[in-house]
Amino acid sequence: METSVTHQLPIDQAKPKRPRFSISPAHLAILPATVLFTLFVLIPAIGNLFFSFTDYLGNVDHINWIGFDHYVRAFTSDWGEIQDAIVKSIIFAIGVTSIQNGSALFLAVLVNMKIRFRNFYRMIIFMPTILGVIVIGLSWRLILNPIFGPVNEFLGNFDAKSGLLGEPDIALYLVILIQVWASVGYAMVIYIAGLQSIPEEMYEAASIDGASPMQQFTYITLPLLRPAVTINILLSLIGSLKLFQVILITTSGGPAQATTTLSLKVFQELTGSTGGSMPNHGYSAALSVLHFGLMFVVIVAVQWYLSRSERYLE
Amino acid sequence: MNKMSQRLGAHSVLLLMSLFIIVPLMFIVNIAFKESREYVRDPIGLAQQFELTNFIDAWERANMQQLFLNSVIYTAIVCACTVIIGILVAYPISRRHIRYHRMLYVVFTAGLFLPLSLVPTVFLMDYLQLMNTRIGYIMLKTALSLPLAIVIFVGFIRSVPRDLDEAASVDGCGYFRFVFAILMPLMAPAIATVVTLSAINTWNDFVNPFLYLSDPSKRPVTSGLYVFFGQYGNEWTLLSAAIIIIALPMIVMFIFLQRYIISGIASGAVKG
Repeated sequence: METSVTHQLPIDQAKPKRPRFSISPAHLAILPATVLFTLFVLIPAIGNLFFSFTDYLGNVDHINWIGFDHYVRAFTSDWGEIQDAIVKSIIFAIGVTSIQNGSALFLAVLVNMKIRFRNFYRMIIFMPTILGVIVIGLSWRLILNPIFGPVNEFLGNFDAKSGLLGEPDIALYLVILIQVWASVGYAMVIYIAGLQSIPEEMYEAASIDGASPMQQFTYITLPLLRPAVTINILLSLIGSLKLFQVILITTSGGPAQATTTLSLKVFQELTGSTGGSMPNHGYSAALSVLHFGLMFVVIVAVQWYLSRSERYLE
Repeated sequence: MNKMSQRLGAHSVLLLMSLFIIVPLMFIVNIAFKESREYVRDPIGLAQQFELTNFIDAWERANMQQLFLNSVIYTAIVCACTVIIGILVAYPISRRHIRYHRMLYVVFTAGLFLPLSLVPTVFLMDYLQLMNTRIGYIMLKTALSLPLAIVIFVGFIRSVPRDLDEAASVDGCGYFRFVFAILMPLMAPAIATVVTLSAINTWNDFVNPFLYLSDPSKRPVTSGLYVFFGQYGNEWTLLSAAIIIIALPMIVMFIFLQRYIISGIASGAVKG
């Protein structure tokens, strides 16, 4: 019995068994995922384009083709608002990406040192990632509350009380700070993984050759960390351009549209904003096509830049 | 000496950062123990008593029992479906059992970067009569958590030796039996990662329930927080208690499973 099994093996390896059914089990296995994904992710992604050319208002029986009307509206009568939202999106994305990656890299290097409590630090800094957006957003609203919040109490000591999230000049920067607070741990974990893949011997060799810690960082750590940097920058750019939940909860786009990014605008057009404007599904779809375009341009540009400088380093 | 000061510097920066993370959370815990009058009088000082009245009030006022049950159901089913469906599709992709395995993988991973398509999804849910149904929400959430699961599973299955497949098939093990009885137990770490990530995602979700589950008896925990935003001002002490009630299950899970969460994010990012 045993001999026959061992005898069969090499034959099987040489010629993989062909399935005997008309539908192979492999095709059956991919079916549920493919159906769900196509239905709820792919079709909606393409459907956006279709709805952007219609006057759909949420009533399924009433969908008419209106051509480029929504786009014309976005680029003419509403252009001021839209342009503003695009600028806010870009400030938000650049702010979050730069602060988050700078501090995450720094923290990752520190946590990766052989110091005591490193796992504890890593756990604490990562913790906000597991809290929901709504928990984070409401907590920060309590903390930044201009009347009861501790931040204003503290600022009061210097006669510097402010409206915080109610202040158009600083609201966007506070939202950036909240977002960084919430996701810096995520970026840090990716950097730690990158750092741990760098062989220890390189540092030993460098320090024998007399390289200072700063030189080791610039000539060993940074170049070898390129893949982690690229991934992290792309992830935070995509994330921050896409995201609107934190802004929705902390400021709902206010005060005076100061924190209305393009992605939040897409959501507000769909549900009707707090300002009382009516929902307009077709227009929301058109804006989300523009939003996709913006993301596409930013991501392609950044990726091109990153890959170019990567080649330059080699 | 130099090494010593370096460590001291590292500790102080990390300690400062940890405080920056933890102090806001502690502040919420502190409010949750205060009486509302006490909060208005002295919003920042330490709570005078450590009674759980706010938690009990918040639990009852927001009908948390029902919401908790709903959220547990959604989270459990979405996690189970994501794992089963994800492994089923990840196995043929990583073993190249189908012709277009590369394209399929690229399309699924693209799902990580596609922006939310809210309008067509609302339309689709309406059209398929899935609006306001548990099954509709669960299907949508599963579809949305599939891409990350597939990236993690495919990466993991590639590290499982192919000899195992062949040995099993020689012994007459069927395709699905192999996936569920032999492969799945081997994938415990990857499954733990996917379960924790999709659990966090589903438990904390509030935009999708807001759009697709308007029936109060079907809402998840996150919607319980709206109760404390009143017409005549917000009930901050109860809100804080509710925030903690909602965050606690995730924090407990994190403490036990942090290894899987962290390693999963690292591996997903490196391979994605």
